[in-house]
Amino acid sequence: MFSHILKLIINQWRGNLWILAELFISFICIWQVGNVFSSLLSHKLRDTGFDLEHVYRVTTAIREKDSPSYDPDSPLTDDWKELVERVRRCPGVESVGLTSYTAFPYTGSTNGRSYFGDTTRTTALRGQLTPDVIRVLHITSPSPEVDLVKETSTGQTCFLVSPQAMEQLYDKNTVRCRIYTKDERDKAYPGILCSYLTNEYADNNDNRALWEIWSEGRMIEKNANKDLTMLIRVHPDADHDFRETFLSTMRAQLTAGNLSIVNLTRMEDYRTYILNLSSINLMYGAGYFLAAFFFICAFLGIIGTFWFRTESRTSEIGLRMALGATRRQVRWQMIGEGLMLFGIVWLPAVIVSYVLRTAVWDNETLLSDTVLFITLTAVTTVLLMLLIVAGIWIPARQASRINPVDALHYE
Amino acid sequence: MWKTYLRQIRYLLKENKFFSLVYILGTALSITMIMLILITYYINTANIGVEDKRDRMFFFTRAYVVKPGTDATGDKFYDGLQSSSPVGHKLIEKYMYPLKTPEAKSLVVNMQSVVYNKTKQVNEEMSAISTDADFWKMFSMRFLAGGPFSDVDVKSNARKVVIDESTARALFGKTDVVNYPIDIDWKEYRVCGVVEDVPSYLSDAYAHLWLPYTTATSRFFRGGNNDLRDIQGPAKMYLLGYERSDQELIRQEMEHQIQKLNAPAKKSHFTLNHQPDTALESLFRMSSDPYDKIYTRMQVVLVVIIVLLILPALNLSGLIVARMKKRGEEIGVRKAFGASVWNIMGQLFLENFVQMLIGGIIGLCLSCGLFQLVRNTLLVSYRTAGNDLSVKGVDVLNFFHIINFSTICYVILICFLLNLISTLLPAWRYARISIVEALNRR
Repeated sequence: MFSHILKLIINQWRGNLWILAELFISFICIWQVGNVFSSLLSHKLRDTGFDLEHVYRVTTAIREKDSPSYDPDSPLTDDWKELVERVRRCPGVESVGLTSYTAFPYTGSTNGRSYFGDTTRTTALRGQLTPDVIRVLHITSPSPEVDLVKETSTGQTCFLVSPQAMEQLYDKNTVRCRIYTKDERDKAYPGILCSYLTNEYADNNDNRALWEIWSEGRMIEKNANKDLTMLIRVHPDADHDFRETFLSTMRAQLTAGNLSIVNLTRMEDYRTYILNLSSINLMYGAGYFLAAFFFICAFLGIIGTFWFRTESRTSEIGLRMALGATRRQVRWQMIGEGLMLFGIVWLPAVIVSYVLRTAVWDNETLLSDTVLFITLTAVTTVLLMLLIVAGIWIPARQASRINPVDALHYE
Repeated sequence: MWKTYLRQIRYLLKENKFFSLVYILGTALSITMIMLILITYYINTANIGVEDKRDRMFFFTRAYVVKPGTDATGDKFYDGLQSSSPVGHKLIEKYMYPLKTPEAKSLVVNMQSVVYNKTKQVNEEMSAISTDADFWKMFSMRFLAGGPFSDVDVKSNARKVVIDESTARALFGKTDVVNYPIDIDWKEYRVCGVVEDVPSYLSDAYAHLWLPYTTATSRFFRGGNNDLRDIQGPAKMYLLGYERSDQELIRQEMEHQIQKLNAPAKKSHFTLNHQPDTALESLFRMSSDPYDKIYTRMQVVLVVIIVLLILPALNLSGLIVARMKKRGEEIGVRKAFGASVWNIMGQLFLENFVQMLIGGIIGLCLSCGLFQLVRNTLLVSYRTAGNDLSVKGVDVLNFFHIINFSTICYVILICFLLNLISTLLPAWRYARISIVEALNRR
């Protein structure tokens, strides 16, 4: 059977070239789409060290001096303290934290600076958080023995160090360390390893970060005039129409001095917005579409080619059936031909895919290269085989329905 | 003759239903994909709704600070680039307002303002545009009451504001509210005009409030902190030419102004980096790239379109060949009765074109529905950043902004190209076959 099909293929090599090219290109295209997907997927599955469910970002606005109702006797620091306390007392609110504009999830900040270990140096993203932000975002540490909330709530300044930054300063297994800043080279601050990444799609350089933990008082003192951001975690039971409930129940308390709460945004919505803005969602969408597109193109090509071939080989099929071949055998012979053609093209396609593996997308995946390559190749192979069987089945079924007498009549 | 052709097409469609289905769906798929790209292009660049002068509008959106003598093209640009940000209002006031070539020039700052809603007794965050009087020459807003603020209002810091219909209804319960007081950023403004709502996908004009930039809250107008602090800020500039071809003249005049700005030798120079852009160019401009990257990105999109066109066309051509094989005798008979090669090719073209058009219509409907579903992904871009889309998302698109004369022309053109690529070769091959051979096939 095997050598028989091979002979058939060789005899019609000219007609087969087209389908070989088709399968070759389809394999490479589907492989590449898979590569992009696996990369996006590995980012998506990354442990970001935070949890956005039931978290809201509170938008505030400051009354400026040019407003007639500006109150010169109400310093902004007092306004912030008052407002934070009011929000904390609001029913349904579990915890309230303050961060600088550069430190909350999906902020997209590239604000960085140099930090030092005992003998090493790194440039890392910077930003400030209050210990309560750890409660709000459920920030975790890769090391289970660390209780981040407890260790950072001492009132002293300390640092949360991301694994990538820790690797540069000490080594990746270090959990607690000493951090020195550029301005105070002789003062050591405690540093603790954390998993917090502000964006799972950021590349590895952007995951190097040192988050400074400031007490709430210090944060307000230093940042009240800048872009201070309030994040709140809401109790799951209270998180139904929370925005509306909050804005209406707090209506009379939303303004303290020159500071007002003007809006509440669900952090999950903010995440969607940022992923749209940075075209991550576009890449996912384009990936799905292109995968479907290559598939359907390959499907069309295979159907078209086999249609043509069965059409021109009707007499041969009739002859086979007259000589005792069953319809089933005829169909399987055709499918065998298709799969054999795929077999011929498989190795070159795999080799080219391997050579081009980083050409379209430099995959920064969690899997090692070899595992990824084998998985992708296996998945692509199985998918294309299914496609070939489906594409040949229909024309082969039509051809095998012919009456042998009719077919022989051609000759 | 035409009637015969059409009857034959109907027969062909019925004869092999599966073949027709695969063929039509193959076309529909290709057209859906291409139309998603073309509708995005159309929504962002065509003259639609209030943005009906986009073909002669130009955009100056970024201030690039570079080392003196930096080459504006290629990778050298990255070495010389010191920073890139939106434009400072002082740069526009001092160097760009004196431009003589454009018909109108407008400074625009997108921001979020706080409006006090008396009925609900709450402060609400709203998308606002701080701008000048020329803004109203760029866009054709329809005023339901009152009119825009004037140049004198802008220069005299008059607290006047134009609001849109939905804001007027939310705040006052009606639209006839000229001269009503409104509390914006804790300052009292007077409504001078009410316009019809602008959909948020028309991102250059979209806001709920439009106010004179001289009255806007001061924190939006903090300068940058390098030695060119006036050139960086929160603003952008729209320029309206008399004609599409004015772009180069405006650019030259702007370059001339920039020379004045850069004249005192400093550590940093300002560069236009080939601005102002057309609507299409501004879509592809990224914050810190040299301008030739704009064209590289356009080429990538063009290549994608060509691939989306050619791949299915070639595959469809396989299907056509399979069918031609069956119709050899028919062609032979037609030729025996005197049909020329062109007659036969014309018929084959028409047959396939009609099938493709069916696929095209399905494709257009699919892309229309699909576009509404993925509109946030396709239309939220850095061009719209600063609007309040983070919470609300892009408005549902007006049906006629997706399906209209232009997009239908695109579909017909794509069908024609697809048909040309997929039918030409098989039709040429089979139409030239000799009569005897064709008749003798079976």
